[in-house]
Amino acid sequence: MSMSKIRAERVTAIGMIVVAGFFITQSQNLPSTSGAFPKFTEFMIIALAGIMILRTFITRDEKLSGDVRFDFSYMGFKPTLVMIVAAFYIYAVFQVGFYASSIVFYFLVTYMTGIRNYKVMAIVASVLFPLMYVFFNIALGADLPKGILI
Amino acid sequence: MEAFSHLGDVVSLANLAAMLLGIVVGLIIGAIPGLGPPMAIALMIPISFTWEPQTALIMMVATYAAGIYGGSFTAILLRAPGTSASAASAIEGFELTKRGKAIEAIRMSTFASVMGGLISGLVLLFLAPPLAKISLWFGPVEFFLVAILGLTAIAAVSFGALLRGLAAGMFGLFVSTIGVDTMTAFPRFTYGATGLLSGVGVLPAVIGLFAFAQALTLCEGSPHTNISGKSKLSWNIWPKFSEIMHCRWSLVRGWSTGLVMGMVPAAGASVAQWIVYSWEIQRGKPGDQFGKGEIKGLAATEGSNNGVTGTSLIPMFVLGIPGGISAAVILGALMIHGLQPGDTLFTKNPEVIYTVMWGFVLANILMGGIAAVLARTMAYSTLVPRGILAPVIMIFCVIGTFTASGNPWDVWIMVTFGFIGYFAEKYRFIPAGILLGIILGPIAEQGFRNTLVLSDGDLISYTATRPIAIVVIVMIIGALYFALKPKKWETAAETYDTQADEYAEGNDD
Repeated sequence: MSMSKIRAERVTAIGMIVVAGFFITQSQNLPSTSGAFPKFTEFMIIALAGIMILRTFITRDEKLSGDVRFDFSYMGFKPTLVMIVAAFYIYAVFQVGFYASSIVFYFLVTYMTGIRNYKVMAIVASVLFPLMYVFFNIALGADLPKGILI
Repeated sequence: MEAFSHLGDVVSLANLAAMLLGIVVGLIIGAIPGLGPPMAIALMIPISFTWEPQTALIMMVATYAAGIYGGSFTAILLRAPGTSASAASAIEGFELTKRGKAIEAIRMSTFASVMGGLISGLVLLFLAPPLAKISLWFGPVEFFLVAILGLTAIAAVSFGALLRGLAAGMFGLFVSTIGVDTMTAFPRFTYGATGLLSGVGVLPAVIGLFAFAQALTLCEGSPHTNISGKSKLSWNIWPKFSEIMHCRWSLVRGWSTGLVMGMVPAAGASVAQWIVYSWEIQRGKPGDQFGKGEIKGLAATEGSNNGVTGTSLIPMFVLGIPGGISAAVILGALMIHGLQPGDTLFTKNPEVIYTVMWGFVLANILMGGIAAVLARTMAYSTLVPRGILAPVIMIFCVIGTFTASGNPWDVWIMVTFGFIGYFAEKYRFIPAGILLGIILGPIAEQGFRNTLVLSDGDLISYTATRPIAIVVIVMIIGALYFALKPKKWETAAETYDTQADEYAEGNDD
């Protein structure tokens, strides 16, 4: 799927205006001295977005020629999938425990990226996690999150 | 001169051992995103309770100097700055690593940092009392203007995407307003979330925008290739004379900026690296490859990082005003050992203070050798396949963020900024701009509001009476002019763009 860069620039700018506009309405509830700086930044974002839209009509910048391609194949979507897994991982850290969830996360993401050498994965994990425990828990005395497991 | 009479005191076995310990601990802890020099120094305090004051303080200042440099290891090798002070180095340093020049980057970084710390230490030693008065010349309006000067760097680091870069900076400024307003105690944009009451911390933001986002980028493409595209590393860890000469003026600019900005309490260290980086970009010549791995950019930022360390201790030692968090922790250590900062420190305890200052100078020299070997060892991480490195970096981001603050909300903030940083980099919204906004927003807003109070609303007349403020305004105008002026190297870099894309494609199987 692709979109012209000019259209993508306009869509992005409209998105910026919408979000900044929303926060301007939120800033109205703030006392005047508290709200001044946030409103300044929000108006500046709207102004910059306006210039971005204007630029797509009046200039012939080479950087706006061509298309933006969106890759929804597994390879293109991999980082987004990893983000989703990461969000579950962070939740699990505080429910299950840091080390248990990190070990699962490590193997899962390594597999998702395409590594299939399980021996190397296991060797790295067997060195990394004990070292991490010794350094953070023992040497630094860090109180890492525990849940139903460590 | 009294300083020289205490030079011999520093070379006792105890002092040297403390120095080495501080250097090693500082380098290792400084390299881990989230931990940083303040934590490293704080960890060393309890073990130093029974030591002589000068031995304990030598260890603290050595840890500080090494911690600042240690943050650059992971910034250069993995784009995961150990401290916010290394964020600017991550931009050029990591690009050099991607081009297979990790060792060149490390040796230039080591040289710039060692020399920067050394010069800064000598300034601390010989000029501390007179220079301390300069710190008192900075009031709210100067802090506000220094923050604006730092923000002008956004224009320079946008690399042709000026509007997006500025929008990113404004977004960062907006994010910095989240939390309880310190002046009115009114919560802003927290929506009832208690974890957001203290605002968005700089540390989770820098780890997320750079380290976590980079880990997500590593998930793209082939998992079997490594970052550098090389299969082995050289052991040539000492900079060549030709490399130093190539970067000589960049080094001078970095060191001088660090020396001057280190004396500005609070704002100096954060701003120094970005000011010198934008200065360097503006001074670029045709053929320079800023944003794609320019060694001069790295030399300047690394020079300023450690150039700040010595002079940032001046207001702390002489006036009792810590210039940053690390200086505040060292101040605590000073008082634990029964010493009071100020003129009396120099008159009643000269053997302590001058020995500590010489210790700082010597630590920077020793740091060079140890850091070069340690960095070379850490450089092996660039040979690890991306598919394995990516989750490891993410796990270290989580552990570093949580260890630093103990706050689960900071971990969520870090991951959120990781997502933002990934898409920002992809669509040219300049994560560095967001970070600059977050760092400088509170300084700018606080300074501006305090200035309004002090000036009774008459900003212009009040500012006109303050010479430092006028100097900074001139610098801001100059910075904006040169930032917006087309740069000679940008036209040449467009040709390099094609070559860089071809290199990147060739690197991915």
